[in-house]
Amino acid sequence: MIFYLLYLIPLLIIGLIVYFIIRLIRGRGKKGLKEKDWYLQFFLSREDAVSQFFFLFSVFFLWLTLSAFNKDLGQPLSWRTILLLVSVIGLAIAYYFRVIYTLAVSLMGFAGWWGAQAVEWIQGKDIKSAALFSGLLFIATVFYLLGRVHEKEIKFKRVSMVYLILGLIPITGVLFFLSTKSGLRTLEEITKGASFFSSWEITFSLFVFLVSIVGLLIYASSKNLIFKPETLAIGFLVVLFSIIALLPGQTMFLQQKGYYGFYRSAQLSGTGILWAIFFNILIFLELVGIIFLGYLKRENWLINLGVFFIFILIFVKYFDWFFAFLDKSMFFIGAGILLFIVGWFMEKGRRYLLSTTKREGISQSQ
Amino acid sequence: MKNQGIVEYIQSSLTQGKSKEDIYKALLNQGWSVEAIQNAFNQIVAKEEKEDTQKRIIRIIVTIGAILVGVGIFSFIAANWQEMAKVMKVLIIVIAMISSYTGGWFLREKWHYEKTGEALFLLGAIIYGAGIFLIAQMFHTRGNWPDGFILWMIGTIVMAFGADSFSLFYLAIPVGIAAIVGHPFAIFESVGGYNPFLLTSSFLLLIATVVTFIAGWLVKKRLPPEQKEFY
Repeated sequence: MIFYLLYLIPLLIIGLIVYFIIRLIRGRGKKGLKEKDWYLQFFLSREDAVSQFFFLFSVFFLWLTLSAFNKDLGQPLSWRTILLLVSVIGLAIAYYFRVIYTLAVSLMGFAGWWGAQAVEWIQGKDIKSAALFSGLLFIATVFYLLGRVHEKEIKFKRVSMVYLILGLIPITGVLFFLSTKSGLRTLEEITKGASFFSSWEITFSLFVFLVSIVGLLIYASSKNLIFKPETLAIGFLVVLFSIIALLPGQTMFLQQKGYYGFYRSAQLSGTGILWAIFFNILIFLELVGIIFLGYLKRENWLINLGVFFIFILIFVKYFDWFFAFLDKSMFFIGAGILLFIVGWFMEKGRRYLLSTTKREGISQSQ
Repeated sequence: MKNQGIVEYIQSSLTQGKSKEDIYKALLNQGWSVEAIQNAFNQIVAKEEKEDTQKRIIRIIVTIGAILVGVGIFSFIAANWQEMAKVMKVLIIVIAMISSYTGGWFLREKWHYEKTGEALFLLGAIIYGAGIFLIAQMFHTRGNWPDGFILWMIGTIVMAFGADSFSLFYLAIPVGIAAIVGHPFAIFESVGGYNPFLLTSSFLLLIATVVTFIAGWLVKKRLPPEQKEFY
């Protein structure tokens, strides 16, 4: 009997998953547009959910179709060209029908195409890959600015969310990575080699990205679509990314060992310490900036995102800095106490910020 | 008008398409307090939610029922598969599928058992999908396995439009994901000459592109009017 009952467990699990998915779809549809943060919902109704999925499928199937025909016809096109083609068509579909899943995938496809193409361009030329790194960060910055530019019009509100997330998360992720030892080691590696000016394709791409960023910044500032401190912060980050692309070879560590066991034991050089301090301060300021931006824009999701990232940052840094030389029992007790303190401060700060934005929202509506 | 009266008045006004504001104005003019009107609205919402929960439970029960029946039928067929003639096998699959769809249609349209009818549609689509793989296996059809999922997805989408059933659209989504995830592997494998990539598969992919695009477009046209301003 128990043996047969065991068969019911997977059925129950599948049933529960299906139930929650349907509930999610229906619940969203019902809450729908009455909520202030309607644009944060993955779908507004069941029709929206189904149509978004099918448009996304059509883009994926297009990619598969082109890849299959390309193979059948003896590979006249490279896979990168197909990726670009599909991304452009996906973007057209996404804009015409305002479908956000397709938009997100197409934008990632475009960034992926540029990354892959850039690798192809620098191959065999010994060009430093920092240019590639900066190029991708420029693309993320362009996405972020496009998100801010799209925000005002209600029809593009969800589109802007996709751009903002695809801009914010990669930049935050990269700054976070660069603030760690492995990030610094990567920075050391990618600054080795010849200047990117040896490849006109990379130079031209970076120039186009830079011009787009400047153009978008000027447009957004002139239309009051972004705040002044935000403009300054973006300007600063763009200068930093440009410096990384142009940076001469850096020596971040005193001893040059193999990669195995390098992460924990290696000592930072003077340059390495400077970069480590710089990136650690920068990531912290960036996260505080996200929270502050959320406060200025009265956007709860930005506050929550910033708070979440700060929590991860504090926890990772604690492991990174204290794991090696603290007694393990002390380390874990310390981690526990740190979590309590961080949790308390975060709850207090978040509650304050959210209540302030809510209060101001009510007073504005009155 | 007693409390039940106000509830009935609101319900009939809502079915006539009157806005909440108009109903409020009319009832305030009749001398009702805001609190009483609000309470009546809350009662209606609570009642609707209760009905929704009941409907959802029925839907879950009949859906699980449909899946179990499908599993039972195929387990029976699998146990007796070797002894059956090919014609018999195909007949069983086709008859099972048609009976499910027909039963679903009668239940939903004629006897107004919407949930049970939808569950039978779902069962029909599951039988259709299983039928594709069983027939392919029976006749040793040469092709990539994700092609079966594409055929399943296309058939389910067509049936979803024909029967106007969202359960079938929901089924088409995971089936489509299986095809999309599986196909690159099939293409990759074919590079090594292990599994020759058939030209029919490329055309099938093209058809899948067109079908999903048109399906997305048509479903989008059905968006509730109040959502259209957000697009």
